[in-house]
Amino acid sequence: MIKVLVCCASGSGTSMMMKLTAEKACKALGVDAKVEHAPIAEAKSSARNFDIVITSPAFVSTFDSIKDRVKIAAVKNPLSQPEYVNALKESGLVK
Amino acid sequence: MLLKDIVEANHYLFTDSFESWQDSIYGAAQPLVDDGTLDKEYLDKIIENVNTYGPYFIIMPDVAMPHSTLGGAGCHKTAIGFCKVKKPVVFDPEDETKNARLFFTLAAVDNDKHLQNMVQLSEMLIKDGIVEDLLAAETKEDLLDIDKKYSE
Repeated sequence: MIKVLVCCASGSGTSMMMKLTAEKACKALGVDAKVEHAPIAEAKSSARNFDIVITSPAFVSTFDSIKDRVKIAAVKNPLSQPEYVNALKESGLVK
Repeated sequence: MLLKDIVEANHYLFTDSFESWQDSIYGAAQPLVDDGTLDKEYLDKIIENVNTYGPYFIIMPDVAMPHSTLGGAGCHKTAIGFCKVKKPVVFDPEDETKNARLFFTLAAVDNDKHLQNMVQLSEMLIKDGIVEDLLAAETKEDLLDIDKKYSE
């Protein structure tokens, strides 16, 4: 099982949408995944407990210090399932 | 489904233009302010957040989803407001993809109901053609027609 963290500025709107889309993408890929969502301020400290962090392009650099340990991916549209599928594939976590 | 709920709650607004992006945050949320779902404090916070993070709630070109945190100060009920403005609101002068004409302002105090709202909003916005139809809408009847058209 892979652990996915999605995060946005507030943690209650966009990232909830991101979570719904990420879950769909994982299902479409046939991947067993646990997806959690968080505001960026919280995600900074909890990210290390996940396999991959998916966030918006503006927040990618927030995770520079842990990018060796955790995959960091950016998606522009929180509702675009293909973007999530690509992000997951490019991370190497799923085929 | 969601649009019908929005119309029945009187949480919709059609307008021609806003003076600034700040004005659009207050203006688009006016129906939610009018019935006490939100007050100005919540909207002030959204503007503060944009000043910190940029326009984080533009979820796709033309679609803004202004919101602050769940149970944030100044938020008293769980609801979604709809606003369509004819003249695009510019959030980032250097990035046209951050312009918006459709606003879905989120208010949330009840986590379960908010999740339901987000599922409905997500399911709605991924339907092919719906953004174009919403951009062409002028009246609440148009919203109800769109709701019916995409309900299957």
